[in-house]
Amino acid sequence: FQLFIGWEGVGIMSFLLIGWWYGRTDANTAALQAILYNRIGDIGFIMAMAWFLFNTNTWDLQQIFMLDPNLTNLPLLGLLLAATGKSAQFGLHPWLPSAMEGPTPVSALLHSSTMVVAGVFLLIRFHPLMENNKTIQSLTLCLGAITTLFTAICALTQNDIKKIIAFSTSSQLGLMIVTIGINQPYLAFLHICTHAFFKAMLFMCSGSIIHSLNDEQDIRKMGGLFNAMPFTTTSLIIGSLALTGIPFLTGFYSKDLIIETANTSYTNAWALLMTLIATSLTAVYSTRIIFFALLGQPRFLPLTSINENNPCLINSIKRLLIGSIFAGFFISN
Amino acid sequence: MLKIIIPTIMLMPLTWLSKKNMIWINTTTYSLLISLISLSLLNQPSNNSLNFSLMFFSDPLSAPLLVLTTWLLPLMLMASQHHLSKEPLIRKKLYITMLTMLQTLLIMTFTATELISFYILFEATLVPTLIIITRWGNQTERLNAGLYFLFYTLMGSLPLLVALISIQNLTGSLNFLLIQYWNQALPDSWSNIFLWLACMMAFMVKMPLYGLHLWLPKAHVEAPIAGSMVLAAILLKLGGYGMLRITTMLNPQTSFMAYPFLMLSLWGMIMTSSICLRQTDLKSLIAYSSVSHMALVIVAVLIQTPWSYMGATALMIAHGLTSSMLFCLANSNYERTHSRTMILARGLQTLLPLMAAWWLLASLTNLALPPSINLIGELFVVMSSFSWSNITIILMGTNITITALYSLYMLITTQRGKYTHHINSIKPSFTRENALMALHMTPLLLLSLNPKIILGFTY
Repeated sequence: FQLFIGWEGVGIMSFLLIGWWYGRTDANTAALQAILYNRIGDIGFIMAMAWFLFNTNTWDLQQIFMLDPNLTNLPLLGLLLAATGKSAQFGLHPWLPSAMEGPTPVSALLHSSTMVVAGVFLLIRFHPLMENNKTIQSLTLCLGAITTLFTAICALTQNDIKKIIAFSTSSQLGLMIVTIGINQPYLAFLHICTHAFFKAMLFMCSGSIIHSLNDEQDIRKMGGLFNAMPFTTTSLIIGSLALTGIPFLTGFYSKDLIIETANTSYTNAWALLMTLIATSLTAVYSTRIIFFALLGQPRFLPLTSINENNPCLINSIKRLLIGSIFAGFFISN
Repeated sequence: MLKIIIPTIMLMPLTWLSKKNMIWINTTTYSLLISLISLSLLNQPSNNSLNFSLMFFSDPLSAPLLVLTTWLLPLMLMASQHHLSKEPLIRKKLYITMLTMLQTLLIMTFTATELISFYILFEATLVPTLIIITRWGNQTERLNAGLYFLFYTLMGSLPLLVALISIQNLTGSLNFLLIQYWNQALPDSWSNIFLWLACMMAFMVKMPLYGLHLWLPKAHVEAPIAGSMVLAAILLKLGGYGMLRITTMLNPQTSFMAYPFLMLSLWGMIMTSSICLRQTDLKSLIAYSSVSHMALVIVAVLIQTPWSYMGATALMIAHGLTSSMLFCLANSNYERTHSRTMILARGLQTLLPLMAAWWLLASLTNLALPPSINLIGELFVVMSSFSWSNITIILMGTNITITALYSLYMLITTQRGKYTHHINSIKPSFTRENALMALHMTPLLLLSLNPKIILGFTY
């Protein structure tokens, strides 16, 4: 029950924060869209709660695991629906790109690291029940695989820097769901933790870029920031490298382990293939961001005041940067 | 119980004898004091009902509703101050007298011991409400609204009179306390089917059930603010309360007689929620939302499980507070723009941020956000209907989604977006209005901390 309180609470907070600039109609519709998809997921959550109440007489996780009910198809399906809604999996995904109407720190916190992983976290919490249910595992696997491939392809064609990162988040979430599907909840949790670092940093960097270019979000109108904003550039490149799982940065410890486990486990070959393609696409769209935003000649107006002087911004990016590089090592050892 | 009834009756001479500038202060203060007395009834030590006299009693089901009723009277008085400010003194006093009369009858209804007295008082509450709607309503449609209101309710409740008299003949007494012990199973025959229908229809119309709900949007929309508040908060709950009392006598027929009403309620819940999404009239939206929530209560009462009764009572109290608050908010809009159309008063968050905060809280509780008591009520009802039949969860889930959508749609349309250019001449929020909202919200929030009190007698 407490989980449900928090679950709904973050949904409403997401609504409020996406609609922060409430004078803007697009922001309001995006916020409402977020609530709609979240609510559809909540029906699944409530259905699972109802089933647990009547078959195991409790909402307490420890007791449910001790009782170990059979035929857990229905509640796990409900929980999967809840995760789909909250973590923007394939059927209920459009709210995440629209949620980019919110301010960048909101996107950094909610929609990259903490809230969207609530769905994955839910599935991780219930993993003792999922271990026994092969159907649900295959379903999770396929759902995650479709999500990750689809959103990675979408990310290739986007021109708005925040939307690219949003789709990349969605793709990584799909990867986490795939990890749960191959029965590795601990790896999924590791990926949640590591992904939080570099994704939040990517969002903050993009926020810094957007702000200094005077609210310009289209990457076709950016360029040549490599020399103009060295610190942001560095962190963006390191973040993208960590995202793609370059060895010995953070992403490597979780992402590579996921890929290895998926390859060596007895699993759905098609899902595996899609996951591999999606992972390679990660590298593609990250490079695209770097290419358009940082390299080449400047394509923005000449009189913008580019500065990185704001210590709040720089300090936060600095800390996330250190985290992106070292956190993987520290967590897994 | 007389401790509450006699002071409420005495409020009437208080209004007539007060000086011109003291009427509002006197009545509001004393009604607040009366509500404090009624709080002591909430302390129910044992499982049986607290018996005070031959005629009045209170048990865990009626006590929360009683407290809600007495709590609402000062709120109604506070809310009506603005639109009555230009009326002559006698009419103001008459209005307050009507409200007080309604309050007395409601208190007596909720604490009635005998079913016939319950019935008489139930009907009697119609009269002051009718007078309030038709005399002090704002548009010409109020006459039509009063007509619908009166005749729908009368048509539904006249069979109840016949049924009660026949039960009195058969079993010798209609006292609540005795019925608990005399309960015999109703055999299955045609006349008993009609008996069941006669008993239930009055409350179905009052609740209202989806097919019989036409009076509700009209009455809510045309009534003045105090009328809408009391209608939404209390009068609908009379139907729920009556159903909860009468179903103890009507077993086992309820198990098969309830099917058509359950279907109507489940479907009606979704229908009215969907209508809410397309409304342009703010009060009409809140009225349809009331129908939707009450349909949940009907489902809960007809399923007849302990959990569903808990959910029904919690939902009744929660919905009373929330709907009343939403009507007050709609009224604050109406007083400024003199129109109920939503889009005429948009973008309010820029101008009246505190009121926007109250709008937000009201909308959040309307969509049943945890851990508010609205959620507890809805959750219990959803759980019990899941146990009754697994498939109902789809309908309930759809309803929850659509409820969230229209609540937030209402919030966004009135608060967010760019404000209109004609809105710069509205008055800022009065302290009275803010106090009104706070007084609505505080019980709601406090009850979320300890919902035991409102969970009814099956806790």
